[in-house]
Amino acid sequence: MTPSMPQEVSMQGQVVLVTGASRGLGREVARAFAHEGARLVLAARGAEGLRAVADEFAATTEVEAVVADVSQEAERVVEAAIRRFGRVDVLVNNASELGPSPMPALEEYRWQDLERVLRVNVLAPLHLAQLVLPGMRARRQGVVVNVTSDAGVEAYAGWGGYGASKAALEHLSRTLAAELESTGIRVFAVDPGDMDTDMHRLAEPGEDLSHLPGPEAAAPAFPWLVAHEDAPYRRVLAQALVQEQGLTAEVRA
Amino acid sequence: MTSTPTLEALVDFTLPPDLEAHAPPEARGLARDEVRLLVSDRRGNRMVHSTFRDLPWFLDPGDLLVVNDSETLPAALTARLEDGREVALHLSTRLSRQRWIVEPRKVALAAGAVLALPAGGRARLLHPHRGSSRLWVARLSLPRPALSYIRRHGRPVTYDYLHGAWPVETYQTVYARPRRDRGSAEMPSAGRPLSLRLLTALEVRGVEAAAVTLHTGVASLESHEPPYEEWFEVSPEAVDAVRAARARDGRVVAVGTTVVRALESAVGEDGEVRPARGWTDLIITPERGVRSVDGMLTGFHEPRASHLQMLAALASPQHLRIAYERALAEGYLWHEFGDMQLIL
Repeated sequence: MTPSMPQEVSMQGQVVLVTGASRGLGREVARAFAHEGARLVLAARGAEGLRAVADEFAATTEVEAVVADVSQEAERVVEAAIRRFGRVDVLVNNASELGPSPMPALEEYRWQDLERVLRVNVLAPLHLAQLVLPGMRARRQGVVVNVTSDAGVEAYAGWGGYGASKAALEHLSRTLAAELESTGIRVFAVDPGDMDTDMHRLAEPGEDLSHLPGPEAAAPAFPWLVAHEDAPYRRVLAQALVQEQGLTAEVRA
Repeated sequence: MTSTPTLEALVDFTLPPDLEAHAPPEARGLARDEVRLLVSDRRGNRMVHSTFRDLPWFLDPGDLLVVNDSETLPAALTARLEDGREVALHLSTRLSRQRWIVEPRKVALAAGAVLALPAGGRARLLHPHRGSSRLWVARLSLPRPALSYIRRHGRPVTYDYLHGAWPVETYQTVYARPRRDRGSAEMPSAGRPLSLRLLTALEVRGVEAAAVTLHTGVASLESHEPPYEEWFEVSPEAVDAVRAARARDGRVVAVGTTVVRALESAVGEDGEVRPARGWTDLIITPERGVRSVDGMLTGFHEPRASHLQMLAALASPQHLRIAYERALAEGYLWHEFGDMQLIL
């Protein structure tokens, strides 16, 4: 029996787990889901930033905040989510590690640094997915969204570590989707595009990024995909999708 | 002194037909461990709606799950009355080599009645069991040893809400251990959703497991009915596992009412579980309370079922009322193939 995909899924009450949610894209993605009525599980390393974000969204929806490093404590994050809400409907693997700044050429990349990048950007997203998939399978629905980058496709000098990790994450995403065929679980790889974020400033220190849009320009693509995209796998350029669909970005308070 | 409302007043409802599980979850396209799970925190009255497969997240490393490893027998036989009518005879409990507690279904019979069973077997009704209106003590004459006869000629005990006939394998828990002499007349159903995959996930999580044995009789009692005895065994290994869990501050979580009945029957004067085996007709009520377990996995029970008294002994009647209101509102499924509740 092949489960039929919903034409449009309501976000109301869905449980969305966002990693790296205390700032940048993660915070705006969480805001976009909250705006659609989803319940949030927010994970981030920084306790203070996370508390501020959680307090802000708590006015809109139910929020569970977990201070955790997803590369070390994936179980604790999922445990908190399931104990609070009983399920995870949407996993947004947003937390990313850029690596050393300024970004070294591969020739002189310390492998300990590369290991950290791969742990956060490749292993943690897969580990989190492994923990939430059994429940998603049982409910015949669920979405895993992995945040990727054009650096995972193109070879930019200096972006080798981060780029390799995103290339690996995209491959995991496609393979997961192949393995989850006809389970009702969908996998998306979302490239948010160039944004004015803390991470981007670390990647290109000294550059003036003020001409770039903020992460709120890409965030509406995430709930839109969950609600409307019924393909089992899709790679998306978020900002292009937002424009195509005429999605309005939530204005920052 | 204000009188507290009784459990029956607090948990009283009419089960809507669409909340009856008419078939195993497999017939609904679900695996055993994909039924729903209502997790209810008996101290905070907080309810979480989850999926049975996510059970490991609600337990902590060091907790102990105690299961009932009794085999489910196909304990229903087709019997022919002296006037030629066919009825179903449910074999409930083996009392001695030839004497069984039995339940002739949907027929009024008198002492002395003889029922012809498959392959030349016979059952003679001796006397009503402990004044019951539906259970009898009968003498069985069978052409081969009782359990092999039952496994060959019987079919699982079913009730009217069940659609279709399912083989006895459908009813077996993955850890059921067949014995030579006894088994259960009805599935110890709380353990049914525990798939091998889920048992592995629980082990990885650091949750321990132990087995006790209680061979169930037919039909859960209604609260006005007199109790009848069931055979149980709590082994020294199970006692060690319970004590070790307690020593490390782990919770003892019973998988099903039968496990609570077995463990409570093994509690000694000192309030501790000790090795025990034999017959138990213990009825657990809120007044009596429970000492051996900190939580339980169980299905959803009908109003006035004596099982509700046991659940109310662990949680409070008020907690049970809230949980059952939520379960009814959220469309959880009742009966042995339905959804599950984890009371912690």
